[in-house]
Formats: sequence, C-alpha cells, structure tokens
Amino acid sequence: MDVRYLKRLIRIVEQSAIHELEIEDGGTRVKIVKGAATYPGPAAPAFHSAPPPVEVQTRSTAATQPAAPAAGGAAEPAVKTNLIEVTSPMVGTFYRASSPGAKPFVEVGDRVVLGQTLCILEAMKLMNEIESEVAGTVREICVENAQPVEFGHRLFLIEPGE
Amino acid sequence: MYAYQLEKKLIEVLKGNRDRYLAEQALLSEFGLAELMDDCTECSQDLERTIDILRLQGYEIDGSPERGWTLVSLPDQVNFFELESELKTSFLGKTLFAYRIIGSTNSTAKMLADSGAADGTLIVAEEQSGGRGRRDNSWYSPAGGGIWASLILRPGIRRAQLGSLGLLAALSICLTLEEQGAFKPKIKWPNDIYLNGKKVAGILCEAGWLGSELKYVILGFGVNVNIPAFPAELAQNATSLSLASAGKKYYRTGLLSDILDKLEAGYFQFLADGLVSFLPRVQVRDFLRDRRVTVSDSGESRTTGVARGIDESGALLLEVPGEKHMLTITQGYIMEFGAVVG
Repeated sequence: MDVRYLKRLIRIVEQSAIHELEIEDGGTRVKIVKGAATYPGPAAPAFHSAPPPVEVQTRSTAATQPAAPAAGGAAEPAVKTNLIEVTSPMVGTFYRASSPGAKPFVEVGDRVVLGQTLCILEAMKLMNEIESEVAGTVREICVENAQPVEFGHRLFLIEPGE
Repeated sequence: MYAYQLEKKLIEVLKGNRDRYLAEQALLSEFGLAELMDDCTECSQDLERTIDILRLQGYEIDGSPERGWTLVSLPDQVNFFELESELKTSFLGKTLFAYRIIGSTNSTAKMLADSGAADGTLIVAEEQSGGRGRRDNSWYSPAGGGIWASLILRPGIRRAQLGSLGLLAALSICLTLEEQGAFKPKIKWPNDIYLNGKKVAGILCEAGWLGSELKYVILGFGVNVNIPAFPAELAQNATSLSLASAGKKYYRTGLLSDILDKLEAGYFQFLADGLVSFLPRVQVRDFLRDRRVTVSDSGESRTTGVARGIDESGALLLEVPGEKHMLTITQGYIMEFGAVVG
C-alpha cells in the first residue's frame, strides 16, 4: 500500500470525527484507531491543540470484510454530552479560512466568543460565514478543509463555558 | 433640520431647471430655500456659500448672485446627494452609506449588518482599497472608475436557492448595460459578467449565520464603468464600459440607480419562487454555454467538460465524456474555459 495514501488516510481520520477506520485495498487491510485506548474519554485538556495520537495497525490479509462505513461526522454521536455540536445549515464546501493562504478562523483548543466566525461554507457562489452560537472552547473540528458537507453534517464540537 | 437637507433641496431644484439661470430671489422664495435656511441653525445663511459647498461636491454650477445660477454638469461621483436624488427604488438604498474610500463595501456591509442596519441598506464607495472577490481574491476598484456597492438583505428565510441570488443581480446588471447602447454582456456562471470576452463586472454574495440561523445576506457587486486602462496583469481579462466604447464616459449614479431598480423589481419574485421566472433571460446570456470548461468544485477535484447551460436551481450543467447524465455543478469556480465547441 502506498505510503502517501496511508498518510492521507491518517490525516483524514485525525481531522474527522471518525474514531476508527478499517479499509481493505488489494489484499492489504489497514485499521486506523484514533486516540488509542483512551478514546472515547474526557476531552483534551484546555489549550491542548495537538490532535490525539493515532495508532496504525497494518496487516496483510486476503479475507474479505465489508468496508468500514464511509461515515461523515453527521453519522457519529457526540462524544461528550456537554459538547455543543455545530452542524451545517446547508449543502456546501467547508473552508477553515477566508482564503487559501490565510490563517484558519479557529483551531482545536481555541476559546471562542458568541458570534465569532468558525468557518465558511460555500454553496453556489454564496459564501456563508458560520458564527458560533455559544462561547466556549473548540474541542473538535470534524471536517477537513475544502471538503463537501451535507445539510446537518457536524462541523465542530464546542465545550460551552466562559 | 440639517444642512444636508438644504443642499439636497438646492440640487433638486437646479437639476429640475437646467435650461435656465435661477435668480437668487427665486431660489429663496419661489423654491422655498429661505424657509429651509430659517429652520437650519447649522446652515450658512448665504446662498452663495451653499452653492460653493455643492461645487466642492463636484457639481459644476455657473453664475453669481447677480446673474443667478445654473447647473452645468453633474459630479463624476457616486455620492450621497447624487444617490438621494437619483434612486427610484422604494426599498433598496432607502438607507445608504456613501464613502469616498473604503476597504471593501462587503466588509463594511457585514459590520453594519451586525450592528442592525436595515434590510435593503446600500453601501457604496468611490474607491475600495481592498476590494474583494471570491475567497479573498482582490478586485481592482480605483477611485471614480466604477460602481463599488453592497446591499444588506435580510430575506428572513433560509433556502438553498439563495445561492442563485447572484444570478439575479447579474441579470439586473446585464439589462442595465444593454440599455446603454450596443453592449452585449454575458453572464459567466456563477457570478461574473463578460463583455467582448473580458470581465466587466463581478458579484460577491456573502451570508452571515449565527449557528443555523440566517442573519443577513450581503450582495456585493463591482461594475467597471469609466476605467480608462487596467494594470498590465489585469488588462488581458478585464474591460470597462469606457474601454468597450472608444473612451465614452458613463454616468455611474444613473447606472447604479437602474441596476437597483431592476433588482428590486425581481427580488420579491425571486424570494417567492427562486430563479424560475428569470431563467430564460439568464440562459440567453450564458457566456459559458457550449464552451469547454474546467471546474474546480471543491478541494483539489477538477472536472472538465462542455458547459450545457444553467438549470433552475442556478447550477451549471456540465457534459462530461463517459458520463451518461449531465453533471450538475452547484459550487466552485471555473478554472479555465475555451472557445464554443458546438
């Protein structure tokens, strides 16, 4: 299996709400589990912005198994009950910054205030700025930059609090 | 009452009587300016002073207290007085902010919208120091060269079709340009206007959401009107009305007034049933139709095919070799386009 492809898969898992991904390709099966044994568990400590570690297991196999569901964030239940989900109000493309070279609006671990811009969703040629309905701390950014999202797709998890 | 009300009244009177010199006495009594002056503590009590204020705003006024005054020419400016006297709309531009220079009309519009500015508020500027297009691309907006404007809209509903509001604005701009003479502007999906194969106008629609609640839509547009020449890096792809008509100058305030008039006429219909009733007029002006195009729809993905029109949701229809059905492109931008392939 191509190493670059593998790296890409890891990145997708890291930046999504997917906890575990198992994929089979040409006789090679790869299972990527996020956050190792501690997941799901308490959210990362405040101001800790690095993504949780990713454990990769690779083994060759000829066995056929149903592919892991290509779950978007929407299909996953919220991890912690006190986290507020920010979902997409439309079908569109998710952008984390105002332009390709710009700094993202928010990072994991950032504190946000009510009305702070979280992301842009592009639908047709309408650029939609999505602001936070709550003050709190960004715990998870569930979609990769420039990816398509559906109506109701989970975009962010925010832990409310001043 | 404020000084600007006296100035506004004086402009209206002069505009309405351009064929003759109006004597000071006639202006004061017959046209009621003396009464306005009496009510206005901050106004100059000298009519000639007020005439001078208008001259500073760019109105060319000939005459003297002895001969009376006449309006020779209007300012080459989209300013507050000009808009107040030219706008024919009943909703768009009823509240208006006119700037000499601004960063970006869309950015200021967003700020004003967040501060509670009314539905239909118009923001215009003579010059944008940071005019923007899609994804923070820059938009060349030199002083006096065009119409740089944004509208704050509060449609109060969230609908997928809001995305095609830009096409309604594009149509309104096309119809206005066509009335100016021999122009044949085309709409380049999703929101540019082309004249003789070059970009003459662009639209930037932005919406603000608090979570899943739509707060406002900002409809921004730039029209290159009297720009005499473009910087080298833009000259290949940009044009202005002046450049397309041997240097002729156009009255920008009048053009803006016409655009808003057409937009207002279509807006409520659009909110009721979307693009449907405008689609035939959009389709006959479709610049990309039957051209080979490459679309970047999101991220790194690229699709090349032949553009086959715009559907009633405002999406671009793309015929791609090997695909049974036409692809419906709802987002992204055109990276490349070629000649019409038939």
